[in-house]
Amino acid sequence: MTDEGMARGSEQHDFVIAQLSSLLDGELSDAEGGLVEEHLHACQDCRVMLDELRAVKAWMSSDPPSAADRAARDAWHQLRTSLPAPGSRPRRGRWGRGLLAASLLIGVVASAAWWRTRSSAAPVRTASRSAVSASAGSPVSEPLEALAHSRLATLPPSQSRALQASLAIIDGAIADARTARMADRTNEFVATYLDDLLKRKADALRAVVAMADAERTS
Amino acid sequence: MKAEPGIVPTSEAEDVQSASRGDVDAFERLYRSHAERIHMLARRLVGSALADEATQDVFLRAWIKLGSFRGDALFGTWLHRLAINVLIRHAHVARRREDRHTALTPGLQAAATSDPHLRLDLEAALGTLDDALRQVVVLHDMEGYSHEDIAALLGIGISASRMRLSRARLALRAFIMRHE
Repeated sequence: MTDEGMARGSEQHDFVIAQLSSLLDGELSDAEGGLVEEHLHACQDCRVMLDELRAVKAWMSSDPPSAADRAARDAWHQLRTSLPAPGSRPRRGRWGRGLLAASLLIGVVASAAWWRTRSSAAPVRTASRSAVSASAGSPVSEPLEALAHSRLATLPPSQSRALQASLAIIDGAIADARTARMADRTNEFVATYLDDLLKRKADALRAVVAMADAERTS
Repeated sequence: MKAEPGIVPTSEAEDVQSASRGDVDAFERLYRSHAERIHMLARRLVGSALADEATQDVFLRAWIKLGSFRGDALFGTWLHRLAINVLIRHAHVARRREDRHTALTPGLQAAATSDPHLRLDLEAALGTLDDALRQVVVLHDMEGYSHEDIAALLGIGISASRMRLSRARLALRAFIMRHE
């Protein structure tokens, strides 16, 4: 074959390679298709490449939903907290409200307990701390919960009602998180959120106990 | 909003209408119906590591733009096209931050599939493509869009879409050859 003939053959080869994808999709005109088919008849390399591209196309179209794709349905609560209200006003979601309540409760209770402890110079009992450490898994143990609720009764009624209302909000958030956790045990966000809520509740219960003890000794 | 019976399934049309008026529960139903498909599209276009965040962003935009859905197509079609626009922007930002390589971390891929090696290879292969090629091959071969649709979605010509698909398939073939 002459140099000119080889060059023409190489050009035709490159042209066919560029058309193989369209051939796979049935998008070539009759004239283009005839030219490509003719080349394929004589060129084993291009036939192999056509088979490989066919396999690539099949590979791309055989990607099934992954576990993460399926789990995306359960990330609703995460989205809900960031949805702005109609009219584009930023809105805090129910979970966000739970976190806010927990934060406020902890802040208020811990500050009050610290202040009372400081002002009375009374030692803070550590019974609740040992009860927590004795619990396995959740930081909110039954003894701690029972102790805190018994101490609530010793506080002034208005203070006790306010603290009970705040604890109820945290409990609601924990219940939501537990439901979401049951629905999807692989969701790390929910797991972390639930752990965080439980720790916050344990801190709040301990603060309630300390506050009541300080009240009693003052 | 115009909801045409027979085009939009009644219950979904009702949810779309309610959600556009601010009904979060209705939007939750829409989310749960379409999240899997949108997440799959996100995984293909931006990679697994960014797919969760990108999916949330898609639905956030959908919530904000729901009032512009006129009901003359299926809600899923409207959402899918919205998602493509959002995800392409995500991919662009991710590329600029040079986070793309993080999206191909083997541990993350393995956690997201029942056949980690297969999915890792597929996503690793897609991750080697330029965004322009990746978008076309994902939309054509994985999402079933025609070149006419892709051209309209990406603002390119039909011949450019065909050319990019060809180049993408050849690049994917080369990736497979290198890793066999």
